[in-house]
Amino acid sequence: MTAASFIRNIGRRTARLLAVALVAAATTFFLFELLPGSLADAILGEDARPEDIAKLEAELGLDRPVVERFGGWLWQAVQGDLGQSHITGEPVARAIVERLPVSIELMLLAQLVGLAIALPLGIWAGYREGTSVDRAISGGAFATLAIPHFVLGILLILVFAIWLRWLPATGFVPFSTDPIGNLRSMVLPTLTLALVEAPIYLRLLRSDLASTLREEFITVARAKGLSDRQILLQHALRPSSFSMLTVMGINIGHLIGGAVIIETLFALPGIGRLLIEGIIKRDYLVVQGLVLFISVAFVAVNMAVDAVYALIDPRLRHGRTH
Amino acid sequence: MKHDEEAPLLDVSELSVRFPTAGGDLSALDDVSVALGRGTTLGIVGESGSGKSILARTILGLLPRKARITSRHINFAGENLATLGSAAMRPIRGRRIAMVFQDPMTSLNPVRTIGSQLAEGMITHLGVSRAVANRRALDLLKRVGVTAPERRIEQYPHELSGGMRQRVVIAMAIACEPELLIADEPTTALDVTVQAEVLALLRGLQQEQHMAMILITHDLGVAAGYTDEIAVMYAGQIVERAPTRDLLRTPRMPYTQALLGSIPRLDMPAHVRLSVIPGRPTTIYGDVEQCRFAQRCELRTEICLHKKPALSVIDGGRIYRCWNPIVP
Amino acid sequence: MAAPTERSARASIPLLFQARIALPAAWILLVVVLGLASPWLPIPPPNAMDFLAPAEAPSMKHLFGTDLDGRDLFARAVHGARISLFVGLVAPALGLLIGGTLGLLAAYYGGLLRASILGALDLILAFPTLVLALALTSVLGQSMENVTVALGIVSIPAFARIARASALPLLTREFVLAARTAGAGDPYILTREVLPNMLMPLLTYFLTMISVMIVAEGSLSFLGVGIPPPAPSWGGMIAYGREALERAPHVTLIPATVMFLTVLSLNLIGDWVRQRTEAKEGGLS
Repeated sequence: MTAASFIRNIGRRTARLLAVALVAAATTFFLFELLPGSLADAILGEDARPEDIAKLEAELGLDRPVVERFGGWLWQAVQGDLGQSHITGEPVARAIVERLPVSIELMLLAQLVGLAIALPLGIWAGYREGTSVDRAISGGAFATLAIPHFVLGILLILVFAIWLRWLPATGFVPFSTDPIGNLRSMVLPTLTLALVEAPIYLRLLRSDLASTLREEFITVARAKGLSDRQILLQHALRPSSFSMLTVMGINIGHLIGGAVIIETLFALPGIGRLLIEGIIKRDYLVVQGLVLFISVAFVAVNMAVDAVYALIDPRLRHGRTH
Repeated sequence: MKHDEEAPLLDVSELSVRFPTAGGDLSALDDVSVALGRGTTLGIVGESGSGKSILARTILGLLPRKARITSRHINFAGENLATLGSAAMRPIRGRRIAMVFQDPMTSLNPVRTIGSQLAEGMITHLGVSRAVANRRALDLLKRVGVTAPERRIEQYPHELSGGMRQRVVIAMAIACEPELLIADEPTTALDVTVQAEVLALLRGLQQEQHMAMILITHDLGVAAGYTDEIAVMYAGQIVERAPTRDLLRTPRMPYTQALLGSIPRLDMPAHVRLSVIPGRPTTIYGDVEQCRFAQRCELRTEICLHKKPALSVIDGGRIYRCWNPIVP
Repeated sequence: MAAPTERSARASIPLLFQARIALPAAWILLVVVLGLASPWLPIPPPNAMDFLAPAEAPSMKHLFGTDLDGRDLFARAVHGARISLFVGLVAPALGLLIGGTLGLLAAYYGGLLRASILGALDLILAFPTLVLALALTSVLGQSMENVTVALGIVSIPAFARIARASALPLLTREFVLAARTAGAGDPYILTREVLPNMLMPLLTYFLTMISVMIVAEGSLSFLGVGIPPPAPSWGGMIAYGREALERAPHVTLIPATVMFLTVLSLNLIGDWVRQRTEAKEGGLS
């Protein structure tokens, strides 16, 4: 790609990102307008006194016209103020900054472990397609996929924390305080999340690999006298990983919102848990700010993944698809 | 058979290949015997489904696991390839016997550069370093007539034209200076104008390196111009084999003559319909006690339908299978 | 010549006896029957607490035992089946109806209508699915119906995409052009000519979605933001048993097993259906 077209490309993508972000912001804001009664009503709940409601409404400026409020909210958000918790007064932005590393650590570790599980098993199953090895691996993946995420987590807790007592069931230790403790507390959550994603990666890799191995250039490679190992790793793996990598990219995007279930189950102070707590406590300002952050980050990450995708597949780089 | 003073380089004897399927055992090759000496070219001609590609792949041991292969021997330079396992075949593949496949679009890995695919065989078989292999790759590209080889090395297959790609495939095949080159329909997927160039290239390389070559094609016209001996295949059997000139002048098997008749010629009157062999090639399950071409043969008689024609050998090493050969 | 493929030898076993499809089908049938019949079964009410018998192991009196409040787990599981059935069928049905229609319209019409439909779909897709479901349920309020609606909305884009993808190639085919030349109006063409051919991929996806929705509802209820207690949602039951995981694991494990078996069975059936429809389409094209 020439420099000029590269810049144009980036410019186009950024413009699209901003447009989608704006729309996501609007949706988030107006979604909460759907709450019955006013926002203040919802936050304080049914048994709130009318005076308190009125006071909160005045504080939040709920008497101003909707569009004006949206503008104000958006302007604040762009400056980094995503509102604050009604209950603790803590600014949402600060809470995000504190909790984002936890969610990201979980996401990265889980992707790594998931790949570590899926790659060798997927390659083996694809290489030995149709044999009993393949059936066992595929069957295992299929069964694991049927286990809901939270059930998987509970099972792991049951086995490793309760019966074997090897690992803590819940709780989080920051890396800066105690690296070993941090990793220990992350083992079960990471394993749970990895086991959720690995079967999907495995199946994609396996089926793509099996079909790549049927292609002519693989026979050509065999005719050249290359060993099976060389063929698998140097010829077959790269073209077969696209589906798997695409889904990985999508998952990374999804996990920006924190792995809500895992974080709740293992009491990890991440973004997902913050969201759930906000919803349960009816802290709607927090929820609003968080959803905005999550959706914008989601869209941004998706676009970044698209861009990386183009780098990996040389055919896409030149605009052709065969 | 063309007689060199030395023993033939490749000697395939009584090769049969079957594939078990739900409908029975599919007979892909039946009692096939071919041989060729160093530096000579054997053409294998037949319609699609005749088994010519299977023959090529069997020699290199590239058939799927479920294939049932039986033979007296498949001798290559004295060694019986049929007895060699996968690990023992690997040093031979690409190094001593190389293959050029039909479709250059699908023969190359789309996500790796031309250079890396060229270098790979040399690094594996000759143990040279990456740098040396790259230098040789450049030389190879020049020899096969690829323009701007320095640029091509870094490019990906989809950036080259079909003819260019096939040249690269040929370069890959001769990289380790094989003793035998098997070219399976090397020009079928190419433009007519490029076909002649590629065939000439193959011929030139063969002479330079004193390679034996098996040229597989469905086009008898192509075989006519570039081979020393031709074996005609039908439904998994060799139905006639003779030195090229003899085959063209005095074919014995009606199928061969029909093939000859279907080649368009410049000295034919204009607007004459090309003669076509009626019917389509069949797949044979198990073994049949009849001539496999009988259904489509104009010269068939009763015996053709009830008894498998024996192999007739006439002097000069010609063979044919027919109850009613054409007598010159 | 390519090596021929083998035809499956399984075709000879009568359909019902293939364990791969018979066992899951039997389980689903059991779940459906028990779930539908739950109000009339001779079992204790699902919410009847009995503080004299908390966390009892399975016995003749209580088939699955009791939970921490003495509620009969079998009764709760069976009533929970009803909830799962409802959400599992209605939510994707919503997605299918709305998404399918939108996809069809976006394929058939161009211009502003298509742009706005695609824009609205992109909007839903701008949020990670669970987050969107969470946001919707928190806005709509927690109840079985609202959870169903929220999950249905989240599934709309996928159905729309499938509908549009299968409608687009159909719209250029001759029979549509022929119908239009014969004077048929748009609604007629859409419903009689295009729709029936779109149905198969949509229904296959619907089948896949049933188990996804059951898990999604379970997840929301597990988190405490789905169907509120004391409703016996399987997810809620699993969450509830967590505190007694050490001394009475059956409180969590039994609803977990029921949920797992149901999802597994649905997936197996869906897989089988998909294999059959793909084989059929392969033969036609």
